[in-house]
Amino acid sequence: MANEEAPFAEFGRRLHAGEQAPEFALEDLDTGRAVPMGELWANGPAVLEFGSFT
Amino acid sequence: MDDLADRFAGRGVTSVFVYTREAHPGEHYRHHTSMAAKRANARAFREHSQVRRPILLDPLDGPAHHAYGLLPNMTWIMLQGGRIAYKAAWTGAADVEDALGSLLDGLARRSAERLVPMYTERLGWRESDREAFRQGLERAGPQAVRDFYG
Repeated sequence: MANEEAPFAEFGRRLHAGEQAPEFALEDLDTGRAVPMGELWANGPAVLEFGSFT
Repeated sequence: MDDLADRFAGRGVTSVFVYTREAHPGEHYRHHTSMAAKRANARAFREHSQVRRPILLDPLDGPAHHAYGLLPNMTWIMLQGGRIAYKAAWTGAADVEDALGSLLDGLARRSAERLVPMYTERLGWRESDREAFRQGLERAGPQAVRDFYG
């Protein structure tokens, strides 16, 4: 379990509120289009939930 | 989270679901070895969960997931322009709604009331349904159950 808990400990140590969010290109599941993350917050705030089926 | 997305869409907030690697892969929903496999799992997830927000896939090697902390179910809020306003190790809809409401309220009042943003940290709350979690592992397959419970 130690390895699974490490990311939780690391989570609070970097990339804080007030800092600029890193940007990557994501793929729209429906259209296949590459979506730069900056597009999500170009016109207003954005809420990003990360997850998977499992 | 979809209801929250609907409520805030009219206030200019964009809400998405970023699909990452499988947190607890099993025989039925395996670790992705191709984008086609990742897309298939994302579609199965949408069918099962009825998520209405747009689903955006992180590339196979997970650059966004790694950069944002690699946790299985985080939520992040960014201000217009990309400044981070909120980060949560897990997703608690009530906590996200509280943060988002406070954020938009401050943005609306900041000029008239001379508000400036400040950095805070706090512990929030999320629901934890152990039975639903176990059912999720069983859905993924016996290997996912063994990996988690030993």
